[in-house]
Amino acid sequence: MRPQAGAPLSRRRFLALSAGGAAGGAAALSGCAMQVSTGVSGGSGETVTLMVKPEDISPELVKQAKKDTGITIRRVDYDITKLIAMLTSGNPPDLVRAVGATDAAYFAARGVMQNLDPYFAKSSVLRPDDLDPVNDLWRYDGRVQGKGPRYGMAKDFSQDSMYWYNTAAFDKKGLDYPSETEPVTFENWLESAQRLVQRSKGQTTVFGGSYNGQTKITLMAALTASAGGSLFSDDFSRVDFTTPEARKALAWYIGYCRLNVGPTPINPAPQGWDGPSYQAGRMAMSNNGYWMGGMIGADKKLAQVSRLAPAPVFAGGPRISACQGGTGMWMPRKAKNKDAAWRLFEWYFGEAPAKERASSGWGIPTLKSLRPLIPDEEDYQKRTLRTQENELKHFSVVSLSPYITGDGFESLFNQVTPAAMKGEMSVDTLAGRLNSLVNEQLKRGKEQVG
Amino acid sequence: MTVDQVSSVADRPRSTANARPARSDTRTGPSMTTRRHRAFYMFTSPWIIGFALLTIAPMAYALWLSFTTYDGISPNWHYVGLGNYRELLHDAQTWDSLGRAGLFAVISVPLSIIAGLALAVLINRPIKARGLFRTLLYLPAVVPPVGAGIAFKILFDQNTGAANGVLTFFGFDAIGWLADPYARYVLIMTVLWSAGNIMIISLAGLQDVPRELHEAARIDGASAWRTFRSITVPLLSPVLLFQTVTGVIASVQTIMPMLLAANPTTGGLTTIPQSNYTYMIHVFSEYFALGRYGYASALLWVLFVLILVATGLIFKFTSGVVFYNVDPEAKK
Amino acid sequence: MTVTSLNPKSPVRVRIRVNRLVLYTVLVAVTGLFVGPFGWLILAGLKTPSELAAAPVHWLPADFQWHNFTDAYKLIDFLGYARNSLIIALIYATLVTLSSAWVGFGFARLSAPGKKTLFGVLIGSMMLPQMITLLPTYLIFAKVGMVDTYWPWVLWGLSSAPYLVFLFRQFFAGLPRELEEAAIVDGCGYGRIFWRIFLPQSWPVLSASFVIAFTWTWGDYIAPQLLLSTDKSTLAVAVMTTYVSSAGTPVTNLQAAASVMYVVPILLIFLIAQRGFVAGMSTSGLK
Repeated sequence: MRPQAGAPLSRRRFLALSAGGAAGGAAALSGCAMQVSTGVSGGSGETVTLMVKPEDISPELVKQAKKDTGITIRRVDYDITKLIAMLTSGNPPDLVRAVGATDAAYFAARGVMQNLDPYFAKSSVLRPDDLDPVNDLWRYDGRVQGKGPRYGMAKDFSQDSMYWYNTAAFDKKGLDYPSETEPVTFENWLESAQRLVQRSKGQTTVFGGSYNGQTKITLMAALTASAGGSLFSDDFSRVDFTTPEARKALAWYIGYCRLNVGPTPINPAPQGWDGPSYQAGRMAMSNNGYWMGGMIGADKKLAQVSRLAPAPVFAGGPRISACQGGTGMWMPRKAKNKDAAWRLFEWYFGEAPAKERASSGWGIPTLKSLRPLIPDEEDYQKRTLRTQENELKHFSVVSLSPYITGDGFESLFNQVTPAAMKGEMSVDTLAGRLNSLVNEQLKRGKEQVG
Repeated sequence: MTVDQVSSVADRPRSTANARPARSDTRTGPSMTTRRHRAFYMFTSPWIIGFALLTIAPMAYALWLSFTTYDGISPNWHYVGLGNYRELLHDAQTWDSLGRAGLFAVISVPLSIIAGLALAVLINRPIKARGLFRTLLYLPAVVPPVGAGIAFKILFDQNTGAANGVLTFFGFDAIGWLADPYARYVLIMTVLWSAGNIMIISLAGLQDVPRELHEAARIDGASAWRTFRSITVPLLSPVLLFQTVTGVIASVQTIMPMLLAANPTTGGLTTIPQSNYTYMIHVFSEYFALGRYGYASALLWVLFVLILVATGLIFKFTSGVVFYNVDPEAKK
Repeated sequence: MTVTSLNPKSPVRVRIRVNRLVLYTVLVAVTGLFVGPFGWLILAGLKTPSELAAAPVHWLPADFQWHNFTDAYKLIDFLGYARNSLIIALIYATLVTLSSAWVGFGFARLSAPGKKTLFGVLIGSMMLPQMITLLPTYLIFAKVGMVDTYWPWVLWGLSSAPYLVFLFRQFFAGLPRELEEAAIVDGCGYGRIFWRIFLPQSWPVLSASFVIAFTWTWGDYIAPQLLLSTDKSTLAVAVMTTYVSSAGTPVTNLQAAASVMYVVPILLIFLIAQRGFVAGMSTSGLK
């Protein structure tokens, strides 16, 4: 039993390792490898470990990577605990997926990320002047997210405060469609949601609207920015939910949850996200950015009745349309196989897979040069693109704190908000509770980073 | 079934050596004893070594972590002594989640034992196709947690699940089963679903209950309920005790709330409704969502101690009630 | 007590009949409740995505989407994951059964100073929440390069499992003393006594132990999720996490179909092993 099970594995490992060792010589002959600062070539015959989610890279793409770059991809399921254990044991993956908005500053501040500026400087595929501003989510200067060296890159993005709506649902209730270029106010949005919701026997047959952001930390930060304030203090070491702007944002979201017009943390969407309900015509408005067009476009009937609308604003507040995601990859500082990993990075973010993603409509490409690939043959594609291009003018990076993770914030947020969502706690009490909980974690985080 | 009660055959010769002088010790002399001693450690060494390396070592490591602010990647973690333990005593989440876990154990364990026992009695009646019924009732108990989690999620979906389908068919309002406050009932139902396990074990016990006892009881004119209560239950009591203890431990450790969540990974812990936010889930959150390995390790050590105490109490309070008939040695 | 001689219309006879009717009704209803969730899972696996998202509920699929099962099989490397699950479960179940029998024999038939303490620790360790050792264990395995191999399962198997040790100990303790006494007189070592005399006696417990260990491993979600990379991971992890569209959204009907295919082998094993398994449980002295 033991030899059969253990031996082939270690043999495979051994082969992979020896192939890595021999790669220097082999790659010199193959000529396809990129020369980078270290002088060791990436490319042919090497194995690169990718810690990703299944949707990040399909088995077909793994095969294609081998064909295009000669690099063998070893996939490891993304799991934060596994990642941390791999980092501490000095055996990290070569590339790791992460959400730019919420993870980049966190990891960068802990010094585990490789500064990619030297690699970008030499790359002919990923040129800095070709990078969309959304990639700034992956920059961190030791203090603020959005400036300083680049630690990674987004694979695609959306402006996640926007929303899609279903014209059929609006027609049914005789409501005017929202404008494609001018934002509604959050208050109006909520009023429409109340009029659009359809219920029967305790079941919500059609959700009036769903507005939950990508994660709670990005949602709260973006809402507060829309109200004209900032959730975090200047040095990101504290939050304050009691400022007029943050309180306004919090009150709006809690109000949304109390009205029960769409999925909320205490009454989550069936199957975990808006997609299936929206697709089944059971959701009038869904807070998702451009990327959901990928799903919508695959269903012609749905595409006919779907419109993308600008991110709402607060009355009198600034017009802000942030990216709350920016999922991409970074390279651990202690990665064993950096050059091959960079070659794969270039391929993934700038070559065939990037082009494929761009033309699928599942998000906006993160290289300006790939913009022309965005699908725009059909009417609904043109319409969506028009709205999106207009919205890009209002793009901005909402910086988050490096002292707390998105999951950490979400967990604390979910500990205390349900009472308020059920109406058992006032928004002011909630703001106070959130302040003490989140600030405690921020303080610990800051001590740890030093 | 404490250690004393299950002390084995091999221990007995010593205590009864006087009564039975022909026993091996006196006959073969000290070399025989040494051989037995050596053999004992030869046989138990896999467990001893494995326990030291795979249980004690990680536990000790966790204990050390529980005195620090270690989070895996931050450079400035440090020793805080009992700081984590002090903090958890003052954290409302500790007590709330512990209360939920305790309530879950106190409800789900007895319920599933009663259900299992009832099923065993039901199936032990003279019925046709008993094998088929027994199999069908038992099979859910062997469905792995992942399968059960997926099945219950689909079954209890608010809009498309069969549970609400039935409710609305009879004119009732649909219920958000997987959200607060109903999620806890679904969690309990996942435990009840595998009551077949207890049924099978009880059934084996029921069929072993000496027929003479039942006949004697019947001749005495005892009612079925009395026979059940005063003969069947006492004879089954060791099994039931064992099921209670393992049931409590399993219920405390269960990851079912996670498997029932909208996103069943460590990243989806925050989607677990509050009523299913048990102690273990709290530990998970501190571990995975907040990355506080030190604090979470302290929580785990507290849990470990609590479980030991709880188990001790269960044994203590049942020692007079539980009835042991089968002395292993008497079996020959 | 001769029921047969009673008048068909006699109240006793009617009562018996009503009793039987009630008994079967209860039995069928309860069985329905137990089979229901699994039946609904199978139905979900046969629906289209929009049928599965429809409200009010669609009881039966308009057309049985049998191809969901082949789709689920093709969407991920189902066979590969199944093979991984099988390898791990076989390694662990075989090793842990043998090692637990070995250790159980020691506790049942032999003694030495410190035995009582050790047995107490063994019983106590059954009460250990395994989660407490999870992360530190992982770090230790990572340091010695065993992550992403099946060696952890080999080690776990070799080190025996307290619960199974307990099963074997109860069984061996119940065997008559004469069994080994004759052998000892013949000069047999304990190793041979175990191997030649005791192990062959213990088929019911061996099969019970093997089936228990196999299903533990087949059903385990956390350990493979943490220790193995995607390609080497088990079916449990794959079924729970990999049924997603290219945008990372769940494909519930295929997941339902896949979980049926994941669960059925375990059900079959139990159906086949049921006899020996039940016998093993009842002779283990657990009662």
